[in-house]
Amino acid sequence: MKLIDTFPTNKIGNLSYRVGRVFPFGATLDSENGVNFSIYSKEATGCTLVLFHHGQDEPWIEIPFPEEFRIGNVYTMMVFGIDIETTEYGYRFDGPYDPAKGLLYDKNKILLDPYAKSISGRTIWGKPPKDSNPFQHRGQIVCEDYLWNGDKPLEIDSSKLIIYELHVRSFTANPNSGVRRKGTFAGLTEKIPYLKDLGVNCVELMPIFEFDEFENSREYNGHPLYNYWGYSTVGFFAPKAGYAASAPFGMEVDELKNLIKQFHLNGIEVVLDVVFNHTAEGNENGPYISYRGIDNRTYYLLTPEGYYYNFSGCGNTMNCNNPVVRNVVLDCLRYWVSSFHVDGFRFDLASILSRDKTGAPMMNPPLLDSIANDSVLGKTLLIAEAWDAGGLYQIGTFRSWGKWAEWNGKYRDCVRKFIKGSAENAPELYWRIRGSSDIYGNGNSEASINFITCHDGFTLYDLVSYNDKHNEANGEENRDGNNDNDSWNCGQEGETNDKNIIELRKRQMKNMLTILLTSRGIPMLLSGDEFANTQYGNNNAYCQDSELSWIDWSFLEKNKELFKYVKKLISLRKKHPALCTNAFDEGYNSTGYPEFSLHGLSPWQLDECAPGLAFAYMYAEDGEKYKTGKSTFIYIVVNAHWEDHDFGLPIVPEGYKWKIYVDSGDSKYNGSEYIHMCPRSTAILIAQ
Amino acid sequence: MSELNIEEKKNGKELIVSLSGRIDTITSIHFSEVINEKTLQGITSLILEMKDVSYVSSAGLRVLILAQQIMDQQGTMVIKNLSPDIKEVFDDVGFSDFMTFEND
Repeated sequence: MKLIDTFPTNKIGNLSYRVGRVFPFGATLDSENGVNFSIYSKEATGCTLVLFHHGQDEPWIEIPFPEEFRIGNVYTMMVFGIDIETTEYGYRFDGPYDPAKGLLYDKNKILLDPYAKSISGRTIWGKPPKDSNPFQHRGQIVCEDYLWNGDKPLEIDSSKLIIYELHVRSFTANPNSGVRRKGTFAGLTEKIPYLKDLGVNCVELMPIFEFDEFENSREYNGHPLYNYWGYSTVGFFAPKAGYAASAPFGMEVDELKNLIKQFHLNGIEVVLDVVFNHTAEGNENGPYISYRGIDNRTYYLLTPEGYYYNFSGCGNTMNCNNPVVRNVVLDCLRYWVSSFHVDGFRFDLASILSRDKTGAPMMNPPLLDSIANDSVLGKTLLIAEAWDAGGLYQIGTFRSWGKWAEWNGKYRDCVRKFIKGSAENAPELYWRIRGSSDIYGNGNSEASINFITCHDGFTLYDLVSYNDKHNEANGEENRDGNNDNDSWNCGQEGETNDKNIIELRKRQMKNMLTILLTSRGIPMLLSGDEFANTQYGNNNAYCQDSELSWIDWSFLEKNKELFKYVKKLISLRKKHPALCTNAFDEGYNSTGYPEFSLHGLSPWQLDECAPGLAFAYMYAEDGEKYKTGKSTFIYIVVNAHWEDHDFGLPIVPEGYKWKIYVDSGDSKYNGSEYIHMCPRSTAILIAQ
Repeated sequence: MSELNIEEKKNGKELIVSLSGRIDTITSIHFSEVINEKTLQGITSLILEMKDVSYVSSAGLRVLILAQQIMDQQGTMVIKNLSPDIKEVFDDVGFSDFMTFEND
């Protein structure tokens, strides 16, 4: 049945059109071959829809919105007869230009729809744009259908997650990645068997919303430098087209949906790293892409003089708690969950999302409340990077409504310092291993995303191979990147042939991974750390589309033993719920032992307030409570000291016997009541 | 210029459709008029000869998927001699997983 509000009433050239529907915002394909356009602007005085044939410099038609097509602050129009596969669209907005008041209307600019679901202009990764093109990022209309075959978000109990952070391009761009479609969503699909074999059950994709790799691009020493990581969003609803092998055919949406579907078929969730704190439009000198020309005072935090506040460190700050922007963010998240079946989000510089229109932190930020309690996002994993570039640091104080988890930066810093040899960090480390109940005691340990490395900073191998950052290739005279890395090169800066140093580095990596994968909270690994991937000391590879960033798969063969070690740690965690329970449960259970206990060189003897470098912790897993059958005792021995130590082992019930599960050193455990630990080593013993 | 030639050959319950040209938004309308629930009624074997197809767009791909869904209910569908370049795009978006391809 044809609906009577899809009958054309107006004509321009060979196109017919009529008043459209307010919802949904964006450009939506109607079943009767019409396209509904709907866009918000509060302070514009007029709006024009601009249509291009694909790739053409000049529009082929412009249709001003008649006054009767505006409802409230929304302009709507349904246009018939558009070939959606060869059409790009944008808008012109007329209105006052008064920068001191934050008003930047310019009807000469053509602007991207904030709700565009596909964006052309950077369809092929790294293909230089035409600078003469005044409208670089153009909206495209997509078919929103997909054949999901029963797929939906996996909803894995979050306490069971093992997250693996990766960059879509870096993961397979290296010629030695062995995939057909290098650097793309399709290429990543080919690597799913590897991830399944490793055992992780959640991937966190660094930004995959449309961004411009050419933003602030430059050349240094003959090498192009890009906005490679993509923490600068052009469009929040569109996948990064340059990551899709099929984007030239307009199928990047399908390709990404297939990737997510394939991950799900293999029991792996997909979390997106999302950047709502700022956009790619930069500061006062930045380009008109979309938001500033549509409603600058709605979308951005502005000083009383009309300048951009810069809490993001990237030139501007999104006005996240404005009701309109709040809805954009919510619509966006709902779209990715409902249309792409995304399982969760990690919010970059999430503390910005708690600021009001003057930039002041709010007690109960409405945006965070809305996200935490939204209907569509009801089962979605929400992870905050609970700080921003404006000085807010909210680890443990980020308002969570029992739903938000946090990247636990304190965990990272503490483990790094301790393993490096800092005895005074021991008392804090005991809390971190327990799930950081000192920080998240009012909630649960799932609030703590434990990690040692992430995209930002050294890789794990570099953490044990470099004292200092080596970011010269970034062309900023090594000024960029963090100076406080808590790293230690084990005796020589960078590559070495010294066998002792090489062995020590391997142990140190294993030591940190052992603690990470046996701590309560949700562990997160950085891709490639499982086989000692290196960035050669660069701790800020944000601009490097090169071997520096691309995962070097040759290390997988060279460091197979480390890979197997990590695999064993992951397997252990998955088998033993006591390690990942979301309760801070440490009390006695039916094993007759406390579920979690700390020990010194002698079992049951540890001054938890004293500095130290040798300790152990034990999980007494109650088989009845956790429905795992027989109870299990897991004893993790940590010797971060530079000397050997003998650790006494706790007495276990009759019939149980300690056996080595993994050992980063060479303990030669002989089944006695002691284990001899070599310097800077860890071991896991299991009694079943 | 969009152009798609479609030739049909019916042999009892078997239908062979030979396509040549481009399957895009415009031509896929014609394509879907030839292949749909009504025209495929009673057909148990659908063979699509695509040797001379030079381009399949998102819209064209969707007509094929709809045809596959119809044939899943009543028989089989085979895509013959699809160019490797186009097949690669089908692979990238995951749609080739539930289609049958054959080459002469």
